[in-house]
Amino acid sequence: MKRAAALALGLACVAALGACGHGSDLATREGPLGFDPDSIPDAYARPSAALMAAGATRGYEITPEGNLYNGEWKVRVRASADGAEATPPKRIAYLERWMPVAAWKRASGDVAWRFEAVAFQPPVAGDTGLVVSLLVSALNHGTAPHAVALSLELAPPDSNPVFVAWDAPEVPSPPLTWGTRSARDTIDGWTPGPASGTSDRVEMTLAPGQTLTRHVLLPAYPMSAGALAGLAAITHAQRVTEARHEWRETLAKGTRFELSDPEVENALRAALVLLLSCRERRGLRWVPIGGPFHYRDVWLRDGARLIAALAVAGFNEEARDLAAGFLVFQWPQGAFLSQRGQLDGTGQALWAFEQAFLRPSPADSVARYADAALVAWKWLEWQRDFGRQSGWRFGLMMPYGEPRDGELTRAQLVGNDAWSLAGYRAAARLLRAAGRDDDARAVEETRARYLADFDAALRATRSPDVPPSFQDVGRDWGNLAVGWPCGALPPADPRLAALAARVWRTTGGPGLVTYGHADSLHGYVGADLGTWALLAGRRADADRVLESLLHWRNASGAGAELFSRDGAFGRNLPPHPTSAAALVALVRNALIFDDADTLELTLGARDGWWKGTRVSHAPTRWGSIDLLFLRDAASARWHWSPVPVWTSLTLPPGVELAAPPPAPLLARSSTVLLAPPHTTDAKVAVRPARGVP
Amino acid sequence: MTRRRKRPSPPARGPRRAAGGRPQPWWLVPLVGLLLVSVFFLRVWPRHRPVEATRSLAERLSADEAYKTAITLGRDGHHLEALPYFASAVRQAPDSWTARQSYASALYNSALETRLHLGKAEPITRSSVERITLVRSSMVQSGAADSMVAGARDRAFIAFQRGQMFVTFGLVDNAVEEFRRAIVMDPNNASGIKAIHSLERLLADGGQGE
Repeated sequence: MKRAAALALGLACVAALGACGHGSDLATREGPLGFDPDSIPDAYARPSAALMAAGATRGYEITPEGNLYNGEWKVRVRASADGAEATPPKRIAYLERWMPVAAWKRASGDVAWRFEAVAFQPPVAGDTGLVVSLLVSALNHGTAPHAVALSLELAPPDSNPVFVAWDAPEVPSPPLTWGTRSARDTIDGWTPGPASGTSDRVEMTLAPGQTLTRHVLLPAYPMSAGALAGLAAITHAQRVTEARHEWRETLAKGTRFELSDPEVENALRAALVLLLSCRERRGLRWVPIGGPFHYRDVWLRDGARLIAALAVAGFNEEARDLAAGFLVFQWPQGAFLSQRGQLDGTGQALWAFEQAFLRPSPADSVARYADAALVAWKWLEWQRDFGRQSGWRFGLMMPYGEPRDGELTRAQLVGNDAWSLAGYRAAARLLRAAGRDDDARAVEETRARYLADFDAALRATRSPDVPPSFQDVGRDWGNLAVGWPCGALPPADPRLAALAARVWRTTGGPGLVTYGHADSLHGYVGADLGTWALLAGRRADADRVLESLLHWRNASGAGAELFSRDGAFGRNLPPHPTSAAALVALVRNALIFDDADTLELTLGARDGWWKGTRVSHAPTRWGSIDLLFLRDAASARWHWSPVPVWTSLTLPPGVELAAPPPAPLLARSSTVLLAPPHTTDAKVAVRPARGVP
Repeated sequence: MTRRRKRPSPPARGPRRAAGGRPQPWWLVPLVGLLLVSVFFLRVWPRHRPVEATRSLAERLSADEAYKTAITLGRDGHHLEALPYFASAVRQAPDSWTARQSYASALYNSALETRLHLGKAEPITRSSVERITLVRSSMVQSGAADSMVAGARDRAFIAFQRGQMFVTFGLVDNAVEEFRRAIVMDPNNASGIKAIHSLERLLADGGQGE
């Protein structure tokens, strides 16, 4: 009975707060976050940001004009002082460029407007919904009073929207409306009121130094006024505190990167926030999505990158859940296919299984994925046999594909075979982990033949590098992954160097690559060349790729897919999770690389990271490891968790061994050491490399 | 006034929080029951009514009527909408290979169906997860149809349709295999012969030409 009474009292309080409409505005007196969004860098021509959440099937875009849009309706924000409309935002920034608490500023004369928004997922919104808490404040900095007006208007999408929510109705029925009190009405936004229909408007004359605040709630889907009124009892400041706490807690579950480099550390956090948010559920399964807005679909080619990045960043449970979701894409014939004509999907799915299920140790369920990989391998081998019998010129390679994506052609795509080869390697590893050595050996034998055939087919093209297709048509795409992650050619193969030289020549040097027009840049397609450069001993080139990935991010730390060199991304909105995955992969590989049979540490560790870096709980194929490294003028030191394989240690940039390394270390070259299995410490004397001042 | 409209997407899985396990007072169960019944009539039933109506309509029809309705819907391009009718026909006439093969075609066509939605052309399905699930279901129905057919020409027809599906999705080697099967079973099938020649030429040229 006491519980019933307490419940009734609670409901009454919630209803009262909702009705009076003051509970929310009180939040602002606790003060918004004290960061200046305009101080956060943004590489793009227009500001934007995403408010999203894992499992939610809609997100909110904060548009360059400072409006909010969820694919079904827009919240048009009009802020003015003395009739003068406020300027559009210069930046829309996440706190510290990674924490998804977005802030942006506008100004109308003496009146400074500040907007702050954070997404949260209350149980009443369901597992597929989210709610945005938006706090608006206006402060009169001047010496005279100003009449300010704030209008938040609910409106349908534009006539030619950049994206629409898949489940948005053609016409909202009943019409879009604000709610101001606890009731059973279905509403599209909650405001303390007064509001009428689609318009929430507040006007006030602000004395010098006086502030106006407004706290509203914006659900991704229509919700009951009662539910939103209940949520409005929690202040915006509390929502922000909760979000900050939850995200810090979430990221703490993964690998910890302490690099003495706040920019890279925050870039990693931003990338992981995005990757973790770009997940949807289908029943009990999770699937990775291509983005929160216009790419809200599933592609094996993007999803595999997302899974791999989460797997190497310590989010093994999430990576495994997503990889398990890939099983839905396996056809009875054995192939994995998510989109028409994208024949690289089979190799990518198997690679994703390997990435997710073998780190830090084989999952209990690995047999299930080894089975799937074996069926896929048989299909690939059947294809090769089919082609062998045909006698067609490139019959031993995958047949032609028309992926309707970046390749822009119909041809036998080099990337399809490269990914198939990655799939063979993954299948063998999965089978071995499942204790099926005979099957693993069979796969490895066929991989060796496939590698030789691939090499021969490339030679037959007479291309000096690695062309997009064996017919030498199409745009560079999957061929850029041949060196890494596919390992279809060894890093030292001159054709890979020629490929890098060709694509980097257009952009003026290592970094991102162009796509189509020479003025364009692509946010991730060339990023694999960064890890290839690490493996080829070209760390400076790898570092320039990393620098480009870091540069081409907006103020929420996200990269776009395709843009011009002056930062215009048109209708291809950031964030793109594959850009984020590329950044995670490159940083992680620069520190810890475990794709080959040797653990490779500090392959591309930047000079600044040698002030003292600690990487904790990093999953590798030989267990979860910790890594510590630092240097001084005369020595470099490493401490790492023991692994049962040899470890390769790369010296800091610009130095070389000053003396032979102490036993049991061996010098592989003047800049690379080898440590026997189970070694945990290394210290060597270094001196400036010859030719380096 | 209580106003309702489109229900937010239902949760894809159950709620995150489980109910507590403490003993409850005697009146709580009837009260909860009453509330649930009220909620159902006030909120759930009105929202679900259109879907339930379609389903029950498809189930109320005879196999023949359901099949004809499905064919009509499919002819108008409403493949996804036709599925409950085909499913009803197949359920009522489980030995009809034509019903199964038509159902298979509708499932496949649904995976390709597009719509104009708020001014944008887009797939009618949410994502590739749903599309590939439809295709896999199509293959199951097609396999069932194939197992029921006795005549070579009919089996060739099924193989030809499967081949076309493989072409559409890019599994061209599998398509050639199906077309070849079709021609073995029905050597005079002009469409099959033309399709295989065209596809083999493309394969030989690595997709160039045409």
